[in-house]
Amino acid sequence: MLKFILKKLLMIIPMLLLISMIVFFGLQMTGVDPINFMVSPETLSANANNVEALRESLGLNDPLIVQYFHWLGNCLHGDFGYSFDGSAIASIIAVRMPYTFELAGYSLVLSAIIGIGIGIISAIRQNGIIDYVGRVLAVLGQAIPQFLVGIILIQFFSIKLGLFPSGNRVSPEATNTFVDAFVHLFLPVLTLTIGMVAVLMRYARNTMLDVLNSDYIKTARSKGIPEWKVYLKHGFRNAMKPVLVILVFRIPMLVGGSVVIESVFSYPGIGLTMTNAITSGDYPVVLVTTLIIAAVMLICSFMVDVFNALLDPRVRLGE
Amino acid sequence: MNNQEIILDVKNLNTSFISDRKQVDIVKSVSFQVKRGTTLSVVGESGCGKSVTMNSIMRFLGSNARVSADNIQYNALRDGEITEYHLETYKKSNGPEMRALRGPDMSMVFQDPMSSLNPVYKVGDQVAEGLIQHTGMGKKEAREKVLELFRKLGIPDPESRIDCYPHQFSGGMKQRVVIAIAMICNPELIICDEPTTALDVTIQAQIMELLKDLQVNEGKSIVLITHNMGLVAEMADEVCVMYMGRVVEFGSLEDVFDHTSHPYTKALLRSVPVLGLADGQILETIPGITPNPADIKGGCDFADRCPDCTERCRQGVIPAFEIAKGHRVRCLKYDSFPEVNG
Repeated sequence: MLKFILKKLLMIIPMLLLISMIVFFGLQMTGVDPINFMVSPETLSANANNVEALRESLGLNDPLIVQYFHWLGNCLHGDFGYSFDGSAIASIIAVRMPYTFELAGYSLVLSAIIGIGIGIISAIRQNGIIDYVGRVLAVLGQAIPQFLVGIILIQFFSIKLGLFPSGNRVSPEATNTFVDAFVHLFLPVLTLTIGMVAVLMRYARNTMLDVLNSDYIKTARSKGIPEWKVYLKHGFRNAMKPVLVILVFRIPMLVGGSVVIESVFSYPGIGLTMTNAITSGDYPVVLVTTLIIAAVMLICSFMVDVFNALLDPRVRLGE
Repeated sequence: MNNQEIILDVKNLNTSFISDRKQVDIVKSVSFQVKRGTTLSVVGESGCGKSVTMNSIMRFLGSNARVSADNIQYNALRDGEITEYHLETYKKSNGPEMRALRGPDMSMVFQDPMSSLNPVYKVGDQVAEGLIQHTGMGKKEAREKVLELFRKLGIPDPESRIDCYPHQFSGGMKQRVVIAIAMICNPELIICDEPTTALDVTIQAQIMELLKDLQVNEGKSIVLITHNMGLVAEMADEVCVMYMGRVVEFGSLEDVFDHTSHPYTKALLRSVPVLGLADGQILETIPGITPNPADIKGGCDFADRCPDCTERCRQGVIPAFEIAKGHRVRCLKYDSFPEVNG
């Protein structure tokens, strides 16, 4: 088992290197010249020689491969370079990363509990009231685009009722940081949770129904054990595998893909940072944020492998 | 016969399924008895309601099933005392009354060992689960009992195999584990639902041997569902032939095999393949197809395929006639004999 984990963990390193290469060279091909962001056009035409010297000193004239390893070396030392507006990328990430993880973490935990819980109950009480209501809500939750849910929630809770702020992560005048964080997180977390609960609920219900129809559930019943044991011990454990895969692969989507939600709530997370960087051509930032999202993706895929191995002896012992 | 002799008495069992808001009758007024310490074989072609009958008794059917019966009586014999259980009175399929019986009193061996074991738990734990549930035994003690049973069931190297997962077992070994699950609480009545259908022939023989031994040595009562006539001849004390959800013939092995009376049973026995079929000799089949249970007509269900069919066969409900003591046939050819329930 330990060997299995180590092997999977080591696999992440070459993957990350490969991705960083693709992104690095790909971004170089966009033809954005960083000098243009550093020096104003008038200076540029007036001091051509000085600019050339600057280029040389920044290493921009080196072959791409040299530039790549130079950048990589810096990254390994924790120096992610500078954004075109002059701030250190490391410090931007240090501020915004936790915001995104907060948003993703809360909605992940909430939607997992609610979604899987309702899904399992719907499967056990198939065609019951919870099942019917859950199915209708699941279709609604999946059919309505998230940004619309966000806008509706803002319209209702912030503008009509004035209960929650419509955006941002902190208020400048905040005294009680816990309450402040709660009110700011409430609407974006709710929006993300609604979408994810819908997906998880349907998924958990369907896999649980499948599992409950399998022969070993009948075997479990033939032992005369109580129903909750049949459902939780024999049913849930087997139904969990595919549901966990869906759940864990939501994390990279939440980290990189909650761009829309972060824009709607002007929530200063990684997603928003990346969209802004892309539109302004700030490629050092694009590079680093893309890599972070790729790293999260790889870690999640590693986690899925480990969970699968833990839950399923066929995977664990087959390795 | 009294309760001492009869372990399971089923009278007028009806099971139907609701599908698309329509009720489809699958098991129709089935009655039979299982004698203590004997084997009853339930035979019939696929879809005739053999499994549904047994699953109705064990209450393993889904929520779309409707089960009703005049009597499903299980007579437990403990220390010479008979306790009657009336299974038809239990409202909940998986309620405490049914659960208390499953395992220590009646248990089931399932058809497909590949899918009957939970893939994520060790086989030993799966066998021990029922024992721990019903006796409150500790894990260690239960493990000893499981090891003992594994040895008895001929699982090689039980000490290491007990901690294996089902996917590490072959089909025959898995079926032994399934049998172990059924046996661990030492039940009186074991229902085997085509226990060897999914196994290859050499393993089939071993598994049947095992069941026969259990019965002979420990006096278990066995209900064996099968469509293998060879197996019936070898195992059964009594035979119950089913067709389209009804018992068409019921009697001792001798009654049914040597004094075969119902045209369906005759056809069924003729269509058993035998080794060394002469060149050019064609294996007999029963003409026609099994009717769809959803479109039922009056009269005998076998009428369309029966060589002896008359006009009378297509009307009303055909009763059963007792042509010899304990030998009941549901066919109008025998209407000179007394009519019986069943």
